[in-house]
Amino acid sequence: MQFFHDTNVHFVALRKKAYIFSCALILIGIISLIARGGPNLSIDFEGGTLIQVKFDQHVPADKLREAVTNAGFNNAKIQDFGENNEYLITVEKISETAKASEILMRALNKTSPAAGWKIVSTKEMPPDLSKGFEGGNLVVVEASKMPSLEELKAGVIQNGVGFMEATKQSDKRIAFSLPFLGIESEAAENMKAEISKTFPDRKIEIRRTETVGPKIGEELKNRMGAAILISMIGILIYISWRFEFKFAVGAVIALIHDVLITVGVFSILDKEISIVVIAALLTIVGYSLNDTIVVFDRIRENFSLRRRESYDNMVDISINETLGRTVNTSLTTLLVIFALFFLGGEVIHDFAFAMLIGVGIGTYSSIFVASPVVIEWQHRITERTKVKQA
Amino acid sequence: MSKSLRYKVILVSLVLLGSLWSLYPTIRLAMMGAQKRHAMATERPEDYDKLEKKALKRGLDLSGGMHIALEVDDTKLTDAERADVVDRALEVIRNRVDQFGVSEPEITKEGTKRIIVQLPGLQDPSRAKRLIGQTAMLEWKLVRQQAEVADVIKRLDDQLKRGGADTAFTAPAAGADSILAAGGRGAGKTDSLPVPGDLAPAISTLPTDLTDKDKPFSSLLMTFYHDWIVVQEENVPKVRGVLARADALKVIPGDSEFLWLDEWADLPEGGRGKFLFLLAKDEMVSGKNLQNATPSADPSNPSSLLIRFSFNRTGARELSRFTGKNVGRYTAIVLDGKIKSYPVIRSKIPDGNGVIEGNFTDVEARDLSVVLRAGALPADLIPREERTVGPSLGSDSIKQGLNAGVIGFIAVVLFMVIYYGLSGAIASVALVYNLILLFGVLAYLGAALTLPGIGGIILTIGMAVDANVLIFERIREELRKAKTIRSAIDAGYDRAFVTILDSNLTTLITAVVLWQFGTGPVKGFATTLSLGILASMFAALVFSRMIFDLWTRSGKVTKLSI
Repeated sequence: MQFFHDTNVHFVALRKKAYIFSCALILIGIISLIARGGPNLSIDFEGGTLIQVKFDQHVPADKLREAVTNAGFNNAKIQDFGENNEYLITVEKISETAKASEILMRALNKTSPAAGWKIVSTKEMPPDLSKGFEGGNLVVVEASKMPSLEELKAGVIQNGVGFMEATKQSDKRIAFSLPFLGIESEAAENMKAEISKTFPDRKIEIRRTETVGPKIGEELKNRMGAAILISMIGILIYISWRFEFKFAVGAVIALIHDVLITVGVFSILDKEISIVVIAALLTIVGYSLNDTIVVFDRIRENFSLRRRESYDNMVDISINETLGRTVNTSLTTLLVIFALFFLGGEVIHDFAFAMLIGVGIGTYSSIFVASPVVIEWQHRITERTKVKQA
Repeated sequence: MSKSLRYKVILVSLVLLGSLWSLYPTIRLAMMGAQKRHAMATERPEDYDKLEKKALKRGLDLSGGMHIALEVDDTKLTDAERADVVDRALEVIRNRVDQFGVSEPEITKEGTKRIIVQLPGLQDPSRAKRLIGQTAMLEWKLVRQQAEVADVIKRLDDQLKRGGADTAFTAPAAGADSILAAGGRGAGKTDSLPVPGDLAPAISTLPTDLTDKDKPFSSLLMTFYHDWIVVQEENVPKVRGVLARADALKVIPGDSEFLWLDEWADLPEGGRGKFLFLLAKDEMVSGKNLQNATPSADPSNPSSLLIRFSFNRTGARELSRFTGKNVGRYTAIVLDGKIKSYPVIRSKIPDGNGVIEGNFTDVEARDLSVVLRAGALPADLIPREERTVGPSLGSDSIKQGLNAGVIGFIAVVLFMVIYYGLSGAIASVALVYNLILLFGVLAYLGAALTLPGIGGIILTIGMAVDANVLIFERIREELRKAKTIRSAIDAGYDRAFVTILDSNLTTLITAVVLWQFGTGPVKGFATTLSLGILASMFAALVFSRMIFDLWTRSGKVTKLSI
C-alpha cells in the first residue's frame, strides 16, 4: 500500500502563499496575546493555589463558589474537571501584603510604641532574579516621632520580623522590604475546611492540591525561558555543523513558527500554559525538527547527485521524495497523541492538545517554512555572487 | 550465518535479557495481586522491600504523596550561623521524617537556601507539614518567686503611670487577636484549674487594690496563684499589649521574661483565664541535650497523653544541678516560646527525666515526641511550594495512561501492518522490543515514572516507528531502481542511517536541555523521552535490521513484503 507515489507538487512555487498563511496565523495569535495581556500562565509560573476536589454526587458550582469565597478567595476560578463531579479550583497570586504589614506593625509597635505608626502603602514586589532580588512585600510606614533607622532595624529583627531592607523616604517615612512569607500553604487548608463545612452531607475527596509561591514561579519562568533558548542555540550549532548555516536558520525559523502558533492557539482558546504544556512545546521543537532534517538530509544528498538541477527544483524533488515518510510519521505520531488526548485523562489533556497542534503545524512547517527559508537564503547568495561577477 | 550477523544476534539477545532481568521485580510485583503483595509485605518484609526497591518507581503524581519546597529563613541569624544552617536543617528534617515512618522519602537540598522534601504515599499532608516545619525548641526554666514578680509588677505600674496610662492599654489590635486565637487549643475546650502537687494552695491577692487607677498594670491582673499571675480572658490582650511596649520592657529585669501558659484555665469565679509566669532567662536547661521522648499515659487525665523525655549524660548533669539548687521551686517547660507545663521540684532529679504535659491527643503526642527526638530546627522554614496528590488520582492516571498507551500502540501496529505488510509487522515487533528496552533501562536507573513520563513513552511509540518508516521508504525507492532485495535492504539501511542519526540527535538535544532545566514532572518526561529516543534507534538500526537479515539471508525470498 502506498499513499504517495511519484508525487510532483511544486512546493517551492507555493511558498509565497504559505508565507501569507503562516503570517496570518501568527498575527492572529499575537493579536490575541496582546488583547489578553500576555499568555495565560498557570500557577506554576504565576504562583497561587490549585485544588482538585471530587464529590460523590453532583454539587452546584455556585454553591462551591460560595464556599471558596467564604474561605477568603473571591477571585477564584472554578472549572468542571472531567466527569465524575470533579472541580478544579484555582486561586492565582494570593496577596501576602496584608499579612506582612500586620506582622510589621506589631513589631514596630513593640519597638517604639509611642511613635504612632501608620501604614502609608503596601505593594507586592515580583522577584527580579536577574538583579538578585528575590521578591517581597514593600510596606511604607509613617510615624510622627521617628526613631533612628539603626535602632528600628535592630528592634524589628528582635521582634521576629525578617526583613531585607529598610530605607528612609523622608523624615517621617520609611519603606520596609519584607521577604515573602509563603502563606499560600494556608490557602489550601482554609479552602478544604470551608468546602467540608459547606457540603456536610457529601463525601469529599481532595484529589490534588498545588501551591506555588511567587518566587518559585518566577524562577521556573526564567528556567523554562533559558531551556527554550539553549535548546534553540544547541540546534543551531548542531545543524550548522552537520549541514550549513542556512539550513540551521531555516530549521530554527520553522521552530519559532511552530511554537508561536501553538502559543497563539492556546491564547485564542484561553487555555492555560502550565509547566507540562511547556514540556509539550519543547517536544514539538524536537519533533518538528525531526521532519525538517529528513527533508534537509535529502536536499543535501540530492545536491551532490543532481548537480544540473536548479536549486528550487532540487528542493521540490527532495520534498516530494520524502513526502511519504513525512506524512506517515506524522500519522503514526498523531494516532498515539489522539489516544492520549481522548483516553489519557484530564491531567494530561492540555499536554496532548499542545502536541496535537504542534505536530500538525510542525509537519506543515517542515515542508512549507523550513525549506523555503533555505531557498530565500540561497537566492540571496546567488544574487550577491551575480552582482560581484558583474 | 555471517560473523557480523552472529554478533548482532548475541548483542540483541543480551540486551533483551538484561532488560527483562531488570524488569523482573516489577513484573513479579504486578503479577502478585494486592492480596499476595500484602501477605508478602507482612510475612517477609525484607524480601518485599528489596523487591520494591528494584521495581520501577512511580513518581509522586502516580503514587500519590506530597512534595514540599521549604526555604530556610536566615534573616534573623548571624553570619556564622548562616554558613551551615541549611545542612543542619536538612539533617533535622531527615531525622524527623525517618522517625515518622514514610517509605522512601527524598530529602534534598536545592540551590543555596532551599530544601525539597518528597513523601510518597502520604495521606495527611497537614500533619506532615507540622512535623517538618515545627521549630521544636525545648527549654526548662526556673519560675521567679512571688516577691520578685510583685516587685516587677510594681515597677510596671510606676512606669506606665509615667508613660501616660491612657494609651497604654491599646494593644495592637490585629496582633492581639491572632495571638488570642492561637492560644486556645480548640475553641470551647477549656481545662479546669490544675492544683499542682501536694503544696497547699498559696493564693494571695495582689499587692494592690484592683480598683486603684493609680496602678494601671496591676488593675489588669486578677490574682497570684503560687508564683504566677492569673489574668482574666478579657484582659489578656491588654496585658500582652503592655508587655510588648518598649518602655515596659525597660523595667523588666534583663535576666527575666514574661511567658504565658499555652492552655486556658477555667476560673473558679467563672470564665476563662491565662497564667502568666515570670521566668529566669539564665537559670535553665536547654533541650539540645535531649536524648529521648516518648508519649505516655497521663495519670491525672486518662483521656489524654503526656510526653516523657530524658536527657543524655551532659543534659542529665545539668538538670541534676538545676533541680538540686531549686528544690521546692516552680519550673516551666517551654516549647517554642510557650509554656507547656510547670512542675514543682520536689527533689533533685538525678537521672535526667522529665515530663511535658499539655493534654495531647494520641497523634499530637506521637508527632511531638518524634520532633523532640530529632532536635530543634536551626531556623524557621518558609514553605514555598507544595504539591499533594491523592492516591486515587494517581491510580486513575496510571489506568488512563495505560489505556491510551495500549490503544495508541494497537493503532500504530495496525497502520504499519496494513501499509508495509510483513515489514510493518517486523517494525511492530521492533516496537515491542523498544518498549521492553525502555522500561528495563528505566527500572535499572531507578528513575521514577511520572504522568508526563508516560506521555513521553506514548510519544516514543509514535516516533519510534519513524526510523522504520524512513528505512522502509528508502528500501522501496531502492527496489524501484530494480535492485535485488538484499542490496535494496542494505542500501535502505545505509542511506537512512545518517538521516535517523541527525533527526534523533537534534530531538535528543532538546530532551537533554529539558532534563537539565526541568523540575519534577518535566524531568520525568525528559528522562523517558531521551531514553525512548536511544532505545528506538537501537531497535530500528540493530534489532529490525537483524530480523531483515535473518529473513532474507537464505536468498530464497523473492518478493519483499514492504
